[in-house]
This record gives sequence, structure tokens and C-alpha cells, in this order.
Amino acid sequence: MKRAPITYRQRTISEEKLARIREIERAFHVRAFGEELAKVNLDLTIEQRLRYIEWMRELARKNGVSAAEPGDCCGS
Amino acid sequence: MSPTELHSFYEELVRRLRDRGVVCAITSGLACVHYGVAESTKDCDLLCHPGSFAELLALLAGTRVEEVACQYRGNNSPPLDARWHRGGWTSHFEWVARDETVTLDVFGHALRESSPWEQDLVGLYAGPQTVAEMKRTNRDKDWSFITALGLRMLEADDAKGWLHIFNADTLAKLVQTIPCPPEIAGKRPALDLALSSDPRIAGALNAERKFWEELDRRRIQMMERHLRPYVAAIRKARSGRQLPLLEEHRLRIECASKHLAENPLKDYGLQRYIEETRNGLIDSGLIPKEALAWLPDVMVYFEFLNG
Repeated sequence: MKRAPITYRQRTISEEKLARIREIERAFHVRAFGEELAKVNLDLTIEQRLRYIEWMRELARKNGVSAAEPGDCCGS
Repeated sequence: MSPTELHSFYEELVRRLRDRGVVCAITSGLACVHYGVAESTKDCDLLCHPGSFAELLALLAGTRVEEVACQYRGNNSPPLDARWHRGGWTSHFEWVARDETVTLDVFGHALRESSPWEQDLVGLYAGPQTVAEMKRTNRDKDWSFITALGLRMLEADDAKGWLHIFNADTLAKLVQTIPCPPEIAGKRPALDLALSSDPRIAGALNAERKFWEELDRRRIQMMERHLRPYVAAIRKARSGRQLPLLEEHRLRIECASKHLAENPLKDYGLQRYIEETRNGLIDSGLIPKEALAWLPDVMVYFEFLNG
């Protein structure tokens, strides 16, 4: 597991169920974000993920995509 | 700054605030990246206890990026003051550096927090429950992030993750894998449908999402309406000048005191706002009337406005 922990509590579900949840999670990421981003999300460390985002942003910039506007006035 | 440098900059800001005894945490997009859901945002959303706004403001006033000082962003940022943050307003700051503008949005309350965000911290970040609740917006892109966070919570054995699964196939697979506690299922009618393999589950999840989107759209509309006289007053008072942060802050407090309602949603009536949103979904044909039964009771997400 390369991702940051999200809780300080001890997990109680079995390894088998955990493996199944991870399978479901991967299927969702592939469907929602695509194969490549699923790998970025699930298999990379935070440093590698940040480098990927940097590359993605740089590629967008080179191709004339302007930076997104910051959020609206009401915190949406 | 590269995303890595930006991440370090924001994390360092949180560390320095905590060293001063301030309860604060990074949330939204950067928290998603931290938890393993990549988002290309470079804006930082920061949760900060309203009782510590003076410390935060002082730190921002003394923090430079490439020798550039921090300033309020544009004319439409409400002041960093507990009175307005209690009503769900947020404050916006920026450092206009040579290559890139670094931005910081500050929230005293996490929008739609069902419990105080201060009770849900993981390291320097807001917990996934808070982040997922904040993402229930009217922006399409946020909904996959919510489900991804819900999945991570379930994987970490946190049953509240069930409240954030908005994909019907994923939900159907999950109910066959791990039990959903009755007290959680009771908070969300769509979960009952999933547990009984009811084919209407996709429609129920869609209706629930539309409800959240419409709640957000109406909230923004109302806040923007209230913001207009304040923005006009700020524009007039500044008359194009760029003031030092603390001076600008005093000006914003003065303008907000005269022109910005502290808590527009509460003034309007929370129950009225929720009811009108529900009815609006039917009237506009966004969801069928039968779907009203599948919508959760959302009052708990707005109760912080009564605080």
C-alpha cells in the first residue's frame, strides 16, 4: 500500500474482504478516471503522483490549455 | 512552483500554524491527491478554526512567495472574520508571483460538514469524510472523487464510507462483500435499495446526486446575490489601489459590516431552502416525484449554520 493512511484505527476486516474491496476500487477507478489515472491513483507514491500531475499540467500548457480559474466566491 | 513545491509550501504553512496552536488542515483537491485520487488542481483550500483567524492573517501577512506579499484575491473575497465564516462564507488569498499565482482559500467551516471538521483530521489533512462532504457540489468532476474517497474509507474499515458511494455498480458489488451497518443505512434511503438489490438503485443515486447539485446551485446563487453590494463597496473603496494585507483586511471588515449579510442561508430559512430545492427538482422534471422518498434528510449538513 503506497497511499497515505486515512485513519489511525486498526482495520478489522479480513484480508480476503480487503482484497475484494480493492478489486472493486480498481474497477471503479478504471471506469471513472481511465486505466492510466487508475494506476497513478492506486499504484504510485505521493511523490510519483505529484510528478505525474506536474507532467500532465506541463503537457496541457504546451498544448495551449490555460490554467483553470480558482474556485468561486462561495467556496464551491 | 511545481506541484511538489506547492504541496510542500502549503504543508509548511499548516505546520507553522499548528506550531502557533492553530487548528487547521488542508482539504479539497490537494487532500484528494494526498489520499490517492489525482486531481490537477494547484489551489489550496485550508480549513482553519475561526478562533485563530488573527494568527492566520498575521502569518499570511508575513509570508512571501518569490518576494511577493500575500493579498486578498479580487474584490469578491469576504473578510477573514468569524462572523461571516459562521455563515458559510470563505476568504480568498493569493501571491501573484512572477511565473505563477499561488492561491489559498480559507474556510472556517467545512461546507456541508455533518460534524465539526476539527474532529476528523489525519495528519496535516482534513479527514476523507470532511473532504467528501465538501465535494458534494454542482460540478460534475467532483462526483467520481466522492465515490473514490468513500471506497478508501470502506477499505480502511470506516463505515461512513457507505454514505459516499454514488456509483450503482460499485455499490452493488460492495453490498455483496461487506455488511452495511443499519445505523448507516438508516441515514441514506438509497442504501436500503442497494441492500435489497432493488433495480431502482441507479435512479435513486442519480436523484440523490441531483438533489446535492441543486442544493449547491441555489446556495451559490443566493450567496452571489448577497455579495454584489459588498463587491461594489470594495471596488469603490479600493479605487484600483493595492493595499497591504492588514490594511486591506480592515477595509473589507468595514465594507462587510455595512454591505454583507453574515448568514444568508440561515436568514432565508434552512428548512425552506431544502424544501424548495426538493420541490424544484420535481417541478423542473429533474427527478420523478416517486424519487423524493429516496432523498436523504440533509438538514444535518447545514446545521453548522445555526451554530
